[in-house]
Amino acid sequence: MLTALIRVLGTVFSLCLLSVLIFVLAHAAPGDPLQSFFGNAADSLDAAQRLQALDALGLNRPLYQQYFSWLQQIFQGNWGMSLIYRMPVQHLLPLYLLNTLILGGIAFLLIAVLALILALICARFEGRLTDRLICSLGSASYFLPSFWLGVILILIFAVNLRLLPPGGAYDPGQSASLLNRSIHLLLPLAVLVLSHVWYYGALLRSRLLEELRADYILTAKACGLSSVQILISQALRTMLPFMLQLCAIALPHILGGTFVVEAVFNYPGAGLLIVQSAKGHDYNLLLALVLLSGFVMICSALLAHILSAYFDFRLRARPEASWLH
Amino acid sequence: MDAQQIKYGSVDPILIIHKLFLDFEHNAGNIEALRGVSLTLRRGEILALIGESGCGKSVLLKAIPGLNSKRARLKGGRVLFYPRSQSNGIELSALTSKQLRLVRGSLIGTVFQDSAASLNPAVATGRQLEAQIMRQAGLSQAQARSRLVELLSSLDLKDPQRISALPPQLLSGGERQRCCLALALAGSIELLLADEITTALDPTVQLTLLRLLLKLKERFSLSVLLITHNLGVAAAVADRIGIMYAGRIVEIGTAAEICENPQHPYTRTLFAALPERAKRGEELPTITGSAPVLINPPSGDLFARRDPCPLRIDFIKAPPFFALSPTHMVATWRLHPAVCGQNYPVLEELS
Repeated sequence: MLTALIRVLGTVFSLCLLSVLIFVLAHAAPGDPLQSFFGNAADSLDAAQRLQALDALGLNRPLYQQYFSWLQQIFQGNWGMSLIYRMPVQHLLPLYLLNTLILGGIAFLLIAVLALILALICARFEGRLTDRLICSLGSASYFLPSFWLGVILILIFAVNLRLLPPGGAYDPGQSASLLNRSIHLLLPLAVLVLSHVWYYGALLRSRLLEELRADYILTAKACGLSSVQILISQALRTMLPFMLQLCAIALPHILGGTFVVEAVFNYPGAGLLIVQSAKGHDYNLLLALVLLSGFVMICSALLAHILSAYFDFRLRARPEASWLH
Repeated sequence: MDAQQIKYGSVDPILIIHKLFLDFEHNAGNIEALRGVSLTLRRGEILALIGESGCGKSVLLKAIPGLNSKRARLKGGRVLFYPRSQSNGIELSALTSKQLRLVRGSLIGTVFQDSAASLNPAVATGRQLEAQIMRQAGLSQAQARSRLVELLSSLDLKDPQRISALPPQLLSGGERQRCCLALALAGSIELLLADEITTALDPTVQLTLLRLLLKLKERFSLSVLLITHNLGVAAAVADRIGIMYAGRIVEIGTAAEICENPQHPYTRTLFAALPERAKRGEELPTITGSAPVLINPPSGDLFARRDPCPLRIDFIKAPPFFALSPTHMVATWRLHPAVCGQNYPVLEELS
């Protein structure tokens, strides 16, 4: 109970620290927030008008005052105005977050399943051609920079072959069409999967091989288990806590990947927003997005911890004593 | 030569190993781990194999149910297994890996040295045993549970409930090794291969485990191939003892014959090196040198290089087995008529 409380407090503290850091950094960065609010009209403002505009937006108060008023607003459920989009952040975000969730979620599932399948195939045929082929192709795809890969795929499939759309999440007016969305997802997903899958595949493979060299595997063999049974019911069973932790770590990693991919494919998600808001000094939007991403990261780390503590006998203080009764 | 044709007199064998050669593939050349091992395990006996690390004891034991690593290559010889439940013998060395897998756990049980690592650390001990009982006996989970409680109490484990619920790393060494035995006994095995099962335990636990082994042997009508470093363990429980050196059995006989009348120079130095035989104030005798590397080993008796007084022929030609008695066989040139004056019959030539 106490540890849980400490964890929650730690999470809140980390988020506060993160918000201060981003707040200071964003304000310290060179650039003009009025540019994003007024567009090119900002250049024709004279000094008095500028001052007036900054006053109206509350941007010329001391930084700590701005921070605390922002914090106060947050607790009232008000995330502030987006300077670029000229609408409340809390109204703007859900749509973009949903798009990111779709892209990231599908990518996450694909990566997890593919990485596990590839690792199992490699472990089953260790050292043979299949294993070596998967390892070298996997490494090659992992080391391709994802923004470069994205551009190349756009060039091939959208520009030259004209098979797939070059970007976006859906064609205008088609946001509810599943087919239209799927077509738009293909290229971003391909980039995400190709650039992430072997990172996890290789980790799982090496851990699996390590596990397969353990003595208890020999015992399992001596008990007459087949190699597939040994892979699944012994090695994978022991690796379960590791895999869950890996999943939790993968969450922010793949989220970071979607941000890059969204920028390349002009996919209207949180990643695209974060890039825009950082460039345009859209403090409120930037802070909201950074805090949300930070929250996801901290939560996934927490999740990893809880999951492995629950599933791993070795971490459990008092092992269950009830299954036989 | 057919499996049935190999008859060893009136002996009722459960396992016959005939001139087994096994190599491990290695970058520096093949390691000749087993170089023509022959032995017969009689039904219902405990045969102890003794030898220093690297002499091939464990490789031999694992070769029987095909548990050696992928780099192991059987170069020759046969392993014949005669379980009571089958009228004909099974030639283990000729089985496919799938057929061999069906023998493992059901007819042949194997227990290894390090019980701490031999059980899956992520699963409750009871679950592991239960799964094996269900697999081998085809029982439902409820039946397997009651069978498990029965099995654990036959292994002198008090409080089977507690032991079942704990993961192996929370059990004591003795409890763990008993659970490993239970895992082996989950099937209706007839042959138990025990690879240094007492080595990792402290002496008092060793003793109780050895007594238990004798009890289990009777209760489950087992034949046991026991590997050990410990001459005391072998003398205490084994009916017969085999001494291995550099991938060969160099001397084999009843426990009394080996302990009281060792003939091979290696066996003799082993006994001479026992601390309990040393005199106070004198330096403890040891065997000089180390076990030979078995990549392209030289011909002859490989122990000659560490033998304090070797014969010249030891460096040239491997000795045959001389039979001192119907049960006692020794591979050393010292029993050749030209050396000892006695005319012992030659039983088996080694290349």
